[in-house]
Amino acid sequence: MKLIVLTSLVALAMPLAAVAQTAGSMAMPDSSTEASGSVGMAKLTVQDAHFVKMAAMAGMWEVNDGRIAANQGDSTVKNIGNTMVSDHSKVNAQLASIAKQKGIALPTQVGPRMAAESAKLKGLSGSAFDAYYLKTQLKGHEMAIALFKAEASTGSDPDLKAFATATLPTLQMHLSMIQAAMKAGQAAG
Amino acid sequence: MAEDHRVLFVDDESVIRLVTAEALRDQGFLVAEAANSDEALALFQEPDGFDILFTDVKMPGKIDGVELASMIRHMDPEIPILIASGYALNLEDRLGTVSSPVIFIQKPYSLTKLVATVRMLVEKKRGSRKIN
Repeated sequence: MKLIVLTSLVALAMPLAAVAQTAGSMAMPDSSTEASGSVGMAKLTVQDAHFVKMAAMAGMWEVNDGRIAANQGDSTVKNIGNTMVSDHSKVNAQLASIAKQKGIALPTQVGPRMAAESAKLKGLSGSAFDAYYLKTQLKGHEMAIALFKAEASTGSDPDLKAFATATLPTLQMHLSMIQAAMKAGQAAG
Repeated sequence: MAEDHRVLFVDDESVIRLVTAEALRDQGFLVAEAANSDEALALFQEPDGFDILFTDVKMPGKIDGVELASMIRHMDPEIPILIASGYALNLEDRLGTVSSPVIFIQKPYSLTKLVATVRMLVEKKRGSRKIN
């Protein structure tokens, strides 16, 4: 039996680590020196580079769809849309500032999945619009929270980690708003 | 490059799948996603095969990640298996039932470490195939 353990929580993994020391024959990659990911000019770890790319794209998508919601939604959805535009514009500016300091070029377009969702949203109206906006926002914020939590706990760049940690409460507040609006919609419907 | 390296990734949390699979794809891996062991076993029957199984332990349904690893190991004795869990304790005995190579990665894992480990395992597997 050959069992190798990778862990960031040494205390939890002690028994398995002992097995790895005695039985392992593979040299495990060291995440502290593994820096094969890059965004723009700066050399970042895969974790940090992926975080920057995804956070930047998600932030653009939030502002874009927030504007659409502020124009086409009912009063609750308009309110959520305006909150998203305001909060994510600030978050995007913070990320852009960190990126500028580090010489990182951020993506300028959202990914194809996000673009497709925005296009679909724009074509809807009434209750179908509100329901679709809230559904995509729910998924988007769940994903963003997972992304930011991962960076806060396992990222390498201290500025990006601090940014992720500081932004999480806003994302969690947004998620609560979205869930409350969905619940109210279900109760009314 | 990892363009032709195929990863079967199993996790019941869709947001984890989305973030992790995207990171692996960004690094050039071909990733098939499964939300549970039944989906994973169905995908594993595909003709192109996989270079590595990366699975979470805790999953809904009758078969968890360790049992899935054991079943996949019987189907492909050489495939590297990477198992993720937030709970390292008590896994040692269970993982002992799956023949090597098996690697455990603690959740939450760094994508940097994950990508490096997946790359190392698939390249090692391909290297040993060339030698044989």
